[in-house]
Amino acid sequence: MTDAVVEARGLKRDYSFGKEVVHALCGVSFDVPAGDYVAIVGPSGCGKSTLLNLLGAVDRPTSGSVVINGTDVARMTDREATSFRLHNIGFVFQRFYLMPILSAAANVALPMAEAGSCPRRDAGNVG
Amino acid sequence: MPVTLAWASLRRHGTRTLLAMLGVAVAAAMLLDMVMMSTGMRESFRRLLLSRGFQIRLAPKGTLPFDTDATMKNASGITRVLRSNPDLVAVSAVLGGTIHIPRGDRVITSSVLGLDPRVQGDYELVSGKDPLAPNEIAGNADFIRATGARFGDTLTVASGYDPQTREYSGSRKLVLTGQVRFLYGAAHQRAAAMRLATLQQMGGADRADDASLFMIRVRDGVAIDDANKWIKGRVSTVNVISTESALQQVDERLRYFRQLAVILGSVSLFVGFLLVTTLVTVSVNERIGEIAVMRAIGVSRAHVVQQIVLEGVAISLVGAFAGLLLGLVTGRYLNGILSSFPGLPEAIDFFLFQPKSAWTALGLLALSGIAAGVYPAFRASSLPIATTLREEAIA
Repeated sequence: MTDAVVEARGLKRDYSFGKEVVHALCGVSFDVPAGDYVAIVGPSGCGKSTLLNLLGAVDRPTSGSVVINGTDVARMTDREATSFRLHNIGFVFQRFYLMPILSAAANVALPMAEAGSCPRRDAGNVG
Repeated sequence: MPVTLAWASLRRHGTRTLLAMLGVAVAAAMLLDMVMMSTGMRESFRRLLLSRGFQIRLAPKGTLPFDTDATMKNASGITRVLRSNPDLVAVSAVLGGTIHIPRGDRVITSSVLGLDPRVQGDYELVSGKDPLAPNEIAGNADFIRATGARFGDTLTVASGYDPQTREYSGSRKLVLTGQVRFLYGAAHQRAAAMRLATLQQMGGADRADDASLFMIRVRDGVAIDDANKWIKGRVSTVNVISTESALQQVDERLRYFRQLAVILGSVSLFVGFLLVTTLVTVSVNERIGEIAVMRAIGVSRAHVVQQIVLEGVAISLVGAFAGLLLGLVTGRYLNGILSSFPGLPEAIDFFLFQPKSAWTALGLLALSGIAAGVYPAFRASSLPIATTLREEAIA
């Protein structure tokens, strides 16, 4: 039994462009123990975003597994993965992707509202 | 949350949303008018037929009331037979014709009904009094305007006029007693009413005991079909027409109107549907990255679908409510044009507003709004999140 919160094993992710196949990830394996801070660094196009998409359960590996807190997210249905992301994963996108139709407070409160929990009243002061 | 997001999304391009709503309003107005037209004329005619409580009409064999100049002979005999049945509580014999009134150099020509003013279902008294005496006549507003007569004036009225010799036949001096409004009169049609016997006598020996129409009121609780059968068994020379059979014949004659209404209504609905689908699809395409982000942070497919369908329904419903008002205004305007069509009773409404029509139009538009949101919603909810985010980042 390991105390890792993230266990990646043999992760592969291929993208097909017609007859051409791009191997974005080729058998990546690593563990992230609880309490650790991990930074993934590398040149552009080396597969950082692909790996984070797999770790964030927004994409599925071509093969291999991603176990987060004991749950293999690669084998989840779309509904299960959506719920898992909502309750377990926080995203800060490279380009932020804030909703321009919502205030800053509403942007922050969006996942909480989706999860059915009430945002704090003082959250309104942000926007 | 889907409601908040849908509302925010609609406000984002307020002018575009407003224009789409206006487009839907025009389609909805057209749809409402077509729904009103498909049912309104029949309902209006039914109300008119029953407005004075007469449920059965007798016309000359093979004709509809006042469809031709044909008359029924032995009107007094037919009346006696009908009145012998206690279930037939009112019998009104009516003779139609034309009269000529010389006024100075002019000759005023008018249609006329000879009837029993105490038991009749052809006119309503507007002012003055009914022409109860044999030497009295009442006219509608157009008749009174054309003759220039006032109540109490005596008019020379002839049932025949030869324009070549300028000779009148069947002349009578009649006193104008009142102004009436004919229920089945066409717009701007001069018309007058007098006692049946007076008009019969003016028509000479040929029309001494004729009637063009009998209107019959049946006692409450008596089956109309039974009364019909009784009349058919005793008076074989007439066409017995119940309100229902008259409506069936009206339905037959209005079939083309209804087909036109269904086609135009369907086109309006389809145009509204396409408009909303286009707008919502464009809106979804513009914020495809946002939708992918929403999905990434855990917003469910169902909520994405709800939000987008709500946008379509909101545009459709707001447009539909505005369209109902617009439809009522245009319906009234068009009704004014069609009601003045020569030969048609002025009291018939082509575009009769009934709450059922409004609910039907609203329901159809709400359904089209839901349908309009389904395709873009399906597309948005099934986006591959990672691929979309990557493409958005590259873009």
